[in-house]
Amino acid sequence: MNLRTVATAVLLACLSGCLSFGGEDADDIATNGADYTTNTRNLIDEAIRASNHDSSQELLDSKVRADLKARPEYSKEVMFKQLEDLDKGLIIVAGQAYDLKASLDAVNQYFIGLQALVRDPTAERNAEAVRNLGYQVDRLNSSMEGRRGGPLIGHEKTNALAELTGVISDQVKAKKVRQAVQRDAETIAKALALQGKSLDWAETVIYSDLTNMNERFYKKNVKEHYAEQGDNFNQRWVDDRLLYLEARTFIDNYNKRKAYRDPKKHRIELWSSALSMSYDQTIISQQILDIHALIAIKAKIEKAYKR
Amino acid sequence: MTTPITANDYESTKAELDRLLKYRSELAKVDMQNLTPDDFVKERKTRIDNSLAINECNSQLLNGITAEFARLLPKIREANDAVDKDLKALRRTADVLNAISKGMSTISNIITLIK
Repeated sequence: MNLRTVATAVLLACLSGCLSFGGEDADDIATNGADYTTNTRNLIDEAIRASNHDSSQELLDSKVRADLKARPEYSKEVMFKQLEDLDKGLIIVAGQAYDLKASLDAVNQYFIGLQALVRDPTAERNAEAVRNLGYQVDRLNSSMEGRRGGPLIGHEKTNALAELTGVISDQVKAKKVRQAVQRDAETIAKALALQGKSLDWAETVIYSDLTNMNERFYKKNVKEHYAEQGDNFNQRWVDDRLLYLEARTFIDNYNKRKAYRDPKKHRIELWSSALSMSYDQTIISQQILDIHALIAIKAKIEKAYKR
Repeated sequence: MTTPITANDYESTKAELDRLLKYRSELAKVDMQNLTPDDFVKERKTRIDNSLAINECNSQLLNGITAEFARLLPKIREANDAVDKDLKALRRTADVLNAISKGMSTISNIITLIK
């Protein structure tokens, strides 16, 4: 058996593919795609919480006065039915959000798969396999030829072949990654556009809850304490007023930030161009950052309101 | 399963949700405790009706998005399977080489034993 021929043929079996560019951009897309999907999922949960909270606070603000409780509109049966109807609606929405998150999981799986493809250590694995094969070829030759036989390939040549294998394996992998991204671009771009709609909905609901909470906070912790000029008109009042003004400025300017982002069509184009490797994910990330900022301010107000 | 809403329906439903939520914020500014009894009853009913309408709008929007996703899911799953296949293909080369190495190692051992 001509081991040299066999060894060369086997090594050449993995030297296929053509030149293609590397996977750093693809890794960015995969990582950012996975982050975007995970964030959307979490923000949908926040939106459900905000929607339920907004609804509950509104009911509290509309507490039936003692002088009106005897009216038939406020009998226990009527009140039970009212609450049931409201709860039913909220539960249906929460259930739909749950289904939506399941769809997002499928999209997330795509980006995780793409990440695994980009990060697969193909070059190292194939190079190691070539080194190992070279060693075995030399060993087999030794055992067949005995002391007369030196190494058939040798350590130096094996290493050189292994390195070349690594380089070409990287190119093969990069080609596969590029093909995968281009093949799936249309489907994934549509999925991301739907995700964008989910995010728009979540943003609207969270923004509404924050707006209403801030007004309640202002009324209870700032306006009333100021008018009373009593014990509650103190240093804490100063902090509360500052917080209200910070939140109010943020809320009033929020729509300008949204207008700057300008969603929908731009988002679809952005992701289509991202998926075809001309990459800029600034505006998509900006929406997520803005919504996180909404939630952060909401949390501060909630904490101060409960004091 | 509800028929998914069209793009135009989506936009108009979203606009309606914006309107209803803004209305909720306006209603929240009214001081309920100082209203006359009849006005209180009327105001409270308006808030409840508005809340029910908000729930309905939210439901329509999410239902529409979910229905669109449901239609796209088979293609998303196909894409996931394809990426999975790509990954397996990348691993095949090393598997083949390693299998050959193992075979050669076995032959070397046998020859050494015989000798």
